[in-house]
Amino acid sequence: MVSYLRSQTIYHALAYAKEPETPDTVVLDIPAEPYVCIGFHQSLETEVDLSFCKSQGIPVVRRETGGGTVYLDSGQLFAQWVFEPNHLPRKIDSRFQLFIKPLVETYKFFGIRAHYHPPNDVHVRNRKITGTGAAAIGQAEVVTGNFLFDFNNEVMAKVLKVPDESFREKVLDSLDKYMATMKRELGTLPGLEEVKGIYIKKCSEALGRKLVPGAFTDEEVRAMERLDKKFLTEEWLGQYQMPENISRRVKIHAGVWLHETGYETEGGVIRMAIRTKGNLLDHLSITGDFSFKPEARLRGLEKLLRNVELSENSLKEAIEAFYELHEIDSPGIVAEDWVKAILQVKN
Amino acid sequence: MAHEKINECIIFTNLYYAVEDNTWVRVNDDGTVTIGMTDVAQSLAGPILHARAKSPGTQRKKGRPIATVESGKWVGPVKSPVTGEIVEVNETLAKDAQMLNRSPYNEGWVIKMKPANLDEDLAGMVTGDAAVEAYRAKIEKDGVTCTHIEGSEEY
Repeated sequence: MVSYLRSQTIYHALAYAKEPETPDTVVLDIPAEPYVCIGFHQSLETEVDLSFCKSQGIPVVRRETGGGTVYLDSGQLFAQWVFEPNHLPRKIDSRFQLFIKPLVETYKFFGIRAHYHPPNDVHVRNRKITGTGAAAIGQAEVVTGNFLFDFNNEVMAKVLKVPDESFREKVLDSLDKYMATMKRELGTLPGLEEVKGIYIKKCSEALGRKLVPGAFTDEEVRAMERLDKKFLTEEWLGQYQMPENISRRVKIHAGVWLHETGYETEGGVIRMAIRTKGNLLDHLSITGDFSFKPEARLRGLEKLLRNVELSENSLKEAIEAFYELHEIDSPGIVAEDWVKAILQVKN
Repeated sequence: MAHEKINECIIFTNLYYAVEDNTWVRVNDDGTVTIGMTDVAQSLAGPILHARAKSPGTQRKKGRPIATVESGKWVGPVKSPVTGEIVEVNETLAKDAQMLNRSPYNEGWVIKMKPANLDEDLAGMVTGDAAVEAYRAKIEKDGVTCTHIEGSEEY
């Protein structure tokens, strides 16, 4: 167990301090305190509900690996690889596959039917149980992931910045539907030491190399101390602003996204919360200041579009048929407007 | 423009390449250089989601990052093949990072730089047939086959 900050700065420091003779390193750690971690290219203000985090004393850290905003706490065991670049596959997807293999094998050892879900997640029964991230840092290539023992979906939904509370409910609903944990799968928590032991064994098998315990060098410790300070500066945390033309979206897992969109038509603004699953529209909620008669049919339109392919033809065909069948009157809004409003999620 | 194709990877013979870092340099008439990622680099990274270049006015030494790119969940630097001052960045990439995948040698350029020691830096790079041979060896050694996303420039 390490401080929340060290759960990030240790692996970054090992990468920055890496010399050609430094052995490849696998770090296993657990954060002592909960925190929010944003991806390297994310905008803090756009992604995180800072007032909620402040009120709960939850710190926020920007990491140098990719991916989205995550809530992290002691219910997770992190696995972080800091490797010589030539010791990992050059193609990023192949690198993730190698990193994920021992995670999957460990889950399986405990009876969880986990599998690799391309490009870089671990799933069990269509739910995500592990996410990963990677980066070239210093002279090293880094890959990170976690074992999800237990997870607080409610806090995760609260730390994200969302347009309104109804969108937040949809985030929570999506997390409940699409996230798995070891506790949820097994009904009980497996022993931490046993998980670590099996993971090290599975890592050794996947890499074809023996793993031995190591200690930090003086330079690595100095790098940690430098990064502890840097990661807390406003300059580091506040860098990068999201371009204005990107609509708000929250990733639930690879392939499942929740989008909040607004689309202006002659008849008024159409606001939608859209959950997409691959190339399908998985769930849709419509609000706005437009006129739609019979009004009760609006919910019918939401239902109709579930599982429809996110393509111009499929959406237009379904909406036009719906308008004709139910004699819909929506002044200033035609089927094409709905199609354009929905397809914003593909931008 | 003359180019070669090795395992679907495009190599232009009029550009200079830092092969290990997978970057290219085009020498412009006004004394500046344009720098970008190679076709091999975009293929290894996969579809790029974010790209952020350092600001104009930034001084960079050869080998230091001039931009970061994120594909899937991997973040990596674009390392400068020359020493100098960044004079222009490709603003398109902040809004459409996949331009790096679709047009790595043209519209997907990363920065323009006023070089400090151009002759010396170019002497450490390869161009023409030597670049093609260097990439042939690298592509074969690393087992790379280039892939191109929908809408990529065709050659």
